[in-house]
Amino acid sequence: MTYVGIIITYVFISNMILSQFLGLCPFIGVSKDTDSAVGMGFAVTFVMSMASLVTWIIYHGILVPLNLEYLQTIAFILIIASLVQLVEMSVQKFSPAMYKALGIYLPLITTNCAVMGIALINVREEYNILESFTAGFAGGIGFLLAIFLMSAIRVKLDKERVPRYLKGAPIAFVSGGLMALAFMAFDRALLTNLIG
Amino acid sequence: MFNFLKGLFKENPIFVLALGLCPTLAVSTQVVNAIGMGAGVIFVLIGSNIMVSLLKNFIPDEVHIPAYIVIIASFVTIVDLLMQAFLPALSSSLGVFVKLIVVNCIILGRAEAFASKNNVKDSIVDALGMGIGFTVGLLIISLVREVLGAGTITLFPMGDFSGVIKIPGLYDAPARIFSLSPGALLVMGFLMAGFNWLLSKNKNKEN
Amino acid sequence: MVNNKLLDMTFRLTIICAVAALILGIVNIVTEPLIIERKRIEKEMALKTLSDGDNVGVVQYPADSDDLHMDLMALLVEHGVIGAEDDLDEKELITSIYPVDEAGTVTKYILQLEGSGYGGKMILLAVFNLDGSFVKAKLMENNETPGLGKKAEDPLYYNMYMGRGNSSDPVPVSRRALADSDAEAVSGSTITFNGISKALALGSDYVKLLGGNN
Repeated sequence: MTYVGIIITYVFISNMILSQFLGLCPFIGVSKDTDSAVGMGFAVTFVMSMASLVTWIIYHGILVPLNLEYLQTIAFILIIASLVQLVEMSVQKFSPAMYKALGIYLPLITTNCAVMGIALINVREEYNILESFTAGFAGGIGFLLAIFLMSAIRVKLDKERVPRYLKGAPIAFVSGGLMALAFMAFDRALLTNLIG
Repeated sequence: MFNFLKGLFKENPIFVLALGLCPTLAVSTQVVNAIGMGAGVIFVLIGSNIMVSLLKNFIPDEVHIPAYIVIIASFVTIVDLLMQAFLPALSSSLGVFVKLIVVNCIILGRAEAFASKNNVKDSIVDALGMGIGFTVGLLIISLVREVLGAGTITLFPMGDFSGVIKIPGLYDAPARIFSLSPGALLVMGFLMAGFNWLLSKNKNKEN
Repeated sequence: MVNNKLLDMTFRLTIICAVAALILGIVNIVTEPLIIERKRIEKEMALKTLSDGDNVGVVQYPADSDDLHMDLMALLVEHGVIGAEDDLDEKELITSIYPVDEAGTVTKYILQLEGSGYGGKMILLAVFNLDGSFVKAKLMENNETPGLGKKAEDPLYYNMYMGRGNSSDPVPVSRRALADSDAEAVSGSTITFNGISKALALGSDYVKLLGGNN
């Protein structure tokens, strides 16, 4: 698949949240206001791109040659956890302002399914290193897009009258469902028609 | 007993705590997947709770998260390998979501919040309660989605029984949207609202 | 003191990692042969059903021949599977070829084909007569949606391709080429249908070229 194809696929067609359900926890948990949603989105995009790159190198450089593919899960989660830690420390050191904005979301990313998910998907789809990086980046942008739209909806929802039992998370899920319905218009057939 | 029951209802991991949602919605297209995923989570949860509880004095405080992650990832890999060896059909339909149990917030959450502070026996009970609560939640969602979305109920094939119950009327003209992602989110939203309603009704009775 | 603590921490974490790796290694040693054996049996069973008990020969792979490739592309363009400027790599999409023989003469071919469906890669085992006409198929690995694309796991799904694929009647690659009732049945899972059709059309044309050579 071409790089443009990968980007369109992971931003729209197989959107991490809306079609693959990866990263739902922050989608519901951190979408109450737009600023933190966007912050989370950028932090996830960064970690997803980096994680795609590093997990590819470790998987194809160490695990496959040594026949240790079964250690994949444990290796990937450790890579992601240390990567998140590293990002947190370096951001804290070099850009205190950015740390202030993103800091509280960084630890949460370790248990974000989207990051682990894209690393596993890269292996399943047999992407090369650049394709993996592109998929990670595009997946992150897709996440950012979905969580930003969601937060905009929830800010509006706060002012609306919502039935008592639907308040909070339930109505967020229902709104997410309707968003996913809209995203279904981005069909795989679209990709075929666009770039063949 | 209290530790066990709270996971089922009052602190149901899916509907009340809203934890472990990614696998919940992704694998709930068929009842059989829900059962398999639930069993996998229960196994990992019990295993990691036992280990964390046993090792609570050995694991240094500063690095407890990485240590827990290693323990959880090991159990997940064991489940993954065993499933591939003995339940291949289930393993292929759950796909990457078996490996994604590792980032299921319920497991790390219980290790952190419960097992690291309690003894082994209580930790097992807690794991069982939470695990079964998760499985029951998953079962309800998958039942709604599969019946409405595909008009079938898929269980394990046994003897003459092919494992698939076809529901007359719905099988020929299912509301396919429920099998797809928007349906999952909608069902989740309304079930959660239903759970809220049940809980508040219960609370009123107590008062 | 600080150093000691750090050392102690690292030491303990290393022990946990080492024990975890050791246990996983043991589990892997036990399960790996089981997994390989299970996959082998599964494939053997599928081949046995598809060949109707006839002898399945040794696995072959697509020949690395430019002439064959050009002929194949020409056929695919003629049958509307790909556009005139497009190019497919059959060596990636046809992953195994099993000749089926009756008393020594090859009568059919079973091809392992790779297609792309709604949930990504699909692996398909399909039987063709020597003239390229489709006999039957079995969908192996796939991630299709239950109630939609998963219906392609049902052997009855392939009735719409039955007997098609010889030189006068190509494998249908669009819903327009189907009978109305069949077109109705695949609506809602067009991506799966397209993926399977394309794979079968490629397989059919490949067998056509192969049939003459053997």
